[in-house]
Amino acid sequence: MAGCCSALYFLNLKGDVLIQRTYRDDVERNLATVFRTHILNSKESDHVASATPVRVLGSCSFIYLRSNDVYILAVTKNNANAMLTFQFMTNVVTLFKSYFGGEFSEQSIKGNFVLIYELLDETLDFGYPQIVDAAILKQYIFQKGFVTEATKARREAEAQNATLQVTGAVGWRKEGLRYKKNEVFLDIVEQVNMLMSNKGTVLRCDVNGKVVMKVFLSGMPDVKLGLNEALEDVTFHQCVNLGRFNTEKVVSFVPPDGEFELMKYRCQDGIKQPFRVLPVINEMGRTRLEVNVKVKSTFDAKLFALNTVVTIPMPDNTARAELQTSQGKAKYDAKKHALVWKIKRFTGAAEQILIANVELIATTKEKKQWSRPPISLTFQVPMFAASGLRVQYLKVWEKSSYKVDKWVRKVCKSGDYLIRI
Amino acid sequence: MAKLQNMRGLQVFIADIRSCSNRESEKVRVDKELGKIRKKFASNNSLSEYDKKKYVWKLLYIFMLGYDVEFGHKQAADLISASKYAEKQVGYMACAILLNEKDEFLRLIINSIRNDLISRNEAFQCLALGFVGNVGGAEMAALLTPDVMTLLMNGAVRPIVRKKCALCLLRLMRKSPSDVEILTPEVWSVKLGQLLEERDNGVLLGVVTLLLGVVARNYEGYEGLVPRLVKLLEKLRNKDVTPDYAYYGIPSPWLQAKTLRVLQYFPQPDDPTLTESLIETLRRIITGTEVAKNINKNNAQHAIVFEAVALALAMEVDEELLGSSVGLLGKFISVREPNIKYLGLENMVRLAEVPAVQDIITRHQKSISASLKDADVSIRRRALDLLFTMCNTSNAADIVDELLRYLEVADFSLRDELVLKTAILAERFYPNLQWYVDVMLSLIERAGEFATRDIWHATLQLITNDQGLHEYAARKAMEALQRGASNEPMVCVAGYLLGEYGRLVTDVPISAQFALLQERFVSTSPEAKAMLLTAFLKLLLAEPKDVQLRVAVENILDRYSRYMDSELQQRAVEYLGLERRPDVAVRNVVNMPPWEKRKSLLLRRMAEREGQDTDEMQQQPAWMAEGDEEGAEPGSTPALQVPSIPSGETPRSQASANGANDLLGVSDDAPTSNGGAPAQAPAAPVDPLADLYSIGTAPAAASQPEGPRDPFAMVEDPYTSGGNAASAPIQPLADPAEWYRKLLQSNSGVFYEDSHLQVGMKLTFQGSDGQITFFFGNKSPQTLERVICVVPPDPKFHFQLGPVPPVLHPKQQVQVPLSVVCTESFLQPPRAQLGYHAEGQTVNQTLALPLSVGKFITPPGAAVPREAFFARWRAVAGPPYKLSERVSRLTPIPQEAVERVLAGLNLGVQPGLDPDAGNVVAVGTFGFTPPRQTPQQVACMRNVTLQVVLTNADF
Repeated sequence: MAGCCSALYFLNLKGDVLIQRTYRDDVERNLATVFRTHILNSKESDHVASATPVRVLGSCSFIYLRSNDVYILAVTKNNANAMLTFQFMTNVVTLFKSYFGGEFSEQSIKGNFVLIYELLDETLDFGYPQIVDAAILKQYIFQKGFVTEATKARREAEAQNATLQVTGAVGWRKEGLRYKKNEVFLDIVEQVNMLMSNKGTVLRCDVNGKVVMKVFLSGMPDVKLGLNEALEDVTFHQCVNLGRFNTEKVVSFVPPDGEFELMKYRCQDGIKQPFRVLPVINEMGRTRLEVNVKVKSTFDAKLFALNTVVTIPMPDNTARAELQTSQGKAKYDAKKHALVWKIKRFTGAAEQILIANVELIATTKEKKQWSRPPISLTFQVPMFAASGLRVQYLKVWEKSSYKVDKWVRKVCKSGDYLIRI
Repeated sequence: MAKLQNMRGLQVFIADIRSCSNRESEKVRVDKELGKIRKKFASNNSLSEYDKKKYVWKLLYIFMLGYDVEFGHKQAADLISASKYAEKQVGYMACAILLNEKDEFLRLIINSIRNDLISRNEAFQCLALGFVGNVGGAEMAALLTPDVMTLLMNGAVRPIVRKKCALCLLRLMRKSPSDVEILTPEVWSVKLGQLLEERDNGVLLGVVTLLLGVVARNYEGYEGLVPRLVKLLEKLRNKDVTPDYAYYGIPSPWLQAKTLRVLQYFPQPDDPTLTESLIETLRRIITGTEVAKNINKNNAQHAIVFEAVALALAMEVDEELLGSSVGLLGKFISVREPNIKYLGLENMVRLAEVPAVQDIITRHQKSISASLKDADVSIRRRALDLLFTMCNTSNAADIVDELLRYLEVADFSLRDELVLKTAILAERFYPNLQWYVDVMLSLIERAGEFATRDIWHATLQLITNDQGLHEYAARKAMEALQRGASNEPMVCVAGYLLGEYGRLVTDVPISAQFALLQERFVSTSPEAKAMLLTAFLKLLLAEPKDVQLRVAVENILDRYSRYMDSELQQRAVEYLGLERRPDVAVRNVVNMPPWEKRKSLLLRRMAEREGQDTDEMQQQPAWMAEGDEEGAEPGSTPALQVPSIPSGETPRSQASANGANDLLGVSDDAPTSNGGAPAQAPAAPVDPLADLYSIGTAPAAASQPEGPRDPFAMVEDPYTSGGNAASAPIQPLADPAEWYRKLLQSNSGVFYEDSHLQVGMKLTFQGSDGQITFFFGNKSPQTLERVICVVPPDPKFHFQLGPVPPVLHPKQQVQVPLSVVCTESFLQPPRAQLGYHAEGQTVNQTLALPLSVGKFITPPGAAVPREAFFARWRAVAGPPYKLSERVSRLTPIPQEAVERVLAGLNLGVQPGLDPDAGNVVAVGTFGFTPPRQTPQQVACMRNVTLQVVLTNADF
């Protein structure tokens, strides 16, 4: 295994290094400058920086992602596993968030240098990922600098436990947990990605879903989850008994304490699209544009979508737009070069329409043809599963057979929901 | 500008942009602002002038941040025709920045510019002139020039406008198409003369600048202005200017410098009094200048002085004046201040080319040599240049010594040039040959890798040609080796010298010499190894009785006879064979013959470095230079000679086409390696052949072995098919068919040539196998890209093409080998595709390879017995194996010519074979290798009866 990286950098949007840790000596020190000049500030940065997350410059591979206003950059000279690196970097972001109270930004990094160095030391060793689980790390890397004797003693005991836990049979759960009220929360979160032609034919459609659980249960409970469908593209949390899943199609596991992601899945067949869009955009000469966009919700009339935003791209030389909508507010946003139409609450089985008269400003030179980028939609539909996934049962067994409160939620969000015009 | 401070919107916008922490937020802010401006500009209710101005300012700011603001051009142009100065100013400024001279949009505003030019408001006039002077293009030149001229000549207009007019006119003149002369000398020499009488210094400065632009193009017709310029100079020297144009007490130094510069363009005035007064002025400038404390004053003074020196040089009249210039510059050189020093050295280089003052310059040699050790590299470079230029017979020894000493400490960027220059000086001014050898050997020893091939080749050639030097040079080289010199050029030189002349150094045993070379052998490059192998063989033959030496040499040769480099391997094998047969070796391994005289390699190299026009000889690629015989050039450098190829070329020496490479080829290994190369075409004199070919079909048909078809119909048709050259603007320099024809007759020549690319070709044949070497040479200063050379497969041949580099750098030459195996007889020549891309053009040519059946025919080694010939001749049945054709001609063809034609086809003429003396009989073997079979040979016979011409071919 080629590990994941030789050095890890955290940079702000200008490309200045916020914090940096080198794990191997095979890379030079000034790579952040290379990254800044060749990737961030290169001419094509707007498109390429977001489009190609892995770049090879010279003998080094630069693997990076952006979270909020921070670039995380892993540099390697070997043939590292890029997916591993991305997974690791995403986990690092989650880890930092859980340490910094949910925030991950330039500011939070600047305020926590010492802690970050400690964490970086633990998460990677010679470029090989180690523990990135926040729950475990928090047992021996503490946020606060000052602690009392008593807590110190307790923490030391826990820290010893931590290694036990990591190496034990049920590494993800402590023994002897006790809650007054035993509760299980289960969320199914789905993201719909879609590309539709302007005639309404679906060109590409898939759903990325995940099941997130929040568990407050005493003792060592055994949980069983029954799902309606045999899912194909599934990855489970390490706590799930894969043998039983393969033979009985039952998701059976001893849950970790607190919040965790039980499973991820992907499906491409039998997807119910929450929205259909019918756009008509006519270019009337060089300075006028007529826009007529119909949006239909196809989900059940009892349901509704929250915060629906339709973004209709416009040419760069757009000057003004007269807009009429059947519901919600719309305006021309010069920053996005697009008409932005917001609908707070979009009920199911309904149709909304936007009509716009757009005026363009004449330019002196012959412009090249407008590229007509696709319309994009963002929304959130509670209690709707685009993949059709349903929870048939959720059972909890424990020796003391206490009473458990179980809560199940579903939400469907938009991923890349694009309609060509 | 006062208004600008009140523009709150603009200020807020700029403040916002400045407080953006990264590019992304800046872009968002700019996009927001652009959206707002677009909205405002598109709205129907017209904007107030103030708003328009404000938004154009914002656009300008956004444009300078690097965003596209194309839509605002119209608004900016609208402001030009506004009525108030403030708006007009913004309009002009925005247009000058947003638009360039090629912009179509400028056409729309020419009229408003013209209105401003002819208005009475001089502020507007100035704005318009400034604008035209900055962005005016050809169209403006055509339309606005008359107005600007009138304005310039109008005495009633204030000077501030007129000086702008002069500069604007200069721009328009430069931008007008070259065939349109907008300033005719007849009219304008008078007008400019009037303008030179002007009192105002600003106008004068503008006019002199204009004049400078005019005379830089062509001074003819303006000679009448010289007296006025001289007078102007005198006036300035007499401090006759208004105080506001005096700079640190110097009256308008810019005007002075420019006037002196203008005078440099004119030839020396005819009027002696005028010359006298000009010289007097110059003398006053040159002698009256002291290095002052104040740096600004110094700069101003030096600007004038250097122009004056340049003018004195250009006039070349007064030696005393030049002498005092040298004195002044000498003072500058010894100053510590680097700028002055630099300028002093640079101008001294120019002066050093004047023979009259060389002696005076020599007096400053010490301070110049000291400048070589200056901390500043550009000063060191200038000093080196100067030393090189000022060198003559009297001071050469000192300077060369100085340079040699300096070489050890010089920085690497300078060494290349330093080595070359030292070598040239040594070559040019040596007092005696021993000194030259000393200098060159120590140069090579010290310079190491910087001593290029040309340098040490030139040295070796000189030594080879002078018998008296042999022993001395060998001894010196040996001493250098003993001192521990082991850089590659030195080892090569020593290897050559010891191999050739080591035996003359009697007091050092050969084995010791061998040991010196041997210990350096391992770490050298293959090329040097090749030289050393030769040297080892020669050393061994010089001392054949030394058993230990023999064992050592045999060891090395034996090892290298299995070496992967084929050149070294071949040498090793051949030398091993020679060494085992001393009788053959003694006869064949002899000393290198003297080189024939040719132009100095070093001077050629120098010219290449400096990118000067190289003379024809230098432009010729090496493969062409090979054959030609150039007589010794009188007056060229003494005794420097470059090799020419020994006539019995071995395949190896042909392969190493660079003439200089031939040092490597031992001329005396001919017996062994020549045996394998009987395919040498007897050098057919080209002219008679061509004559014969062009006589007409009759004798041509007679001389073609291919068959009864008209050979030139066959030759020609490749070009009708490959005729896409006609559409490409890069044209071949001559008809490719002509080159093809020449190549059929000789084994080297031009294959293809146009303004960028030259492709030479060398062919060698052995039976059915042919070796073609393409020499791709880039003649142009551009890089040729996407170079391709493809030989499409042909059923009658088997091709193997070496790698073709995709890019040819300027002046680069590469060789591409192509091996050909003929698999059966053929009529059509195979084709090759050539192509490259340069200057936005793609050139593609399909050319016929000069392969005819004749190339694969080998003449017999010895005379063919008569009976054998006639037995074979009769054994061949009639057509298609035996063809005859009868051609009638009015004039007889001389027998000699027929023989030459046959020889050109590689058929061995057999004199006296046929009992009839008038008949010519020729015999050859046509070799071909059918696929996956052993080579085969077929006899070709030719019996030509003069008066009656028979063609017979037997395949």
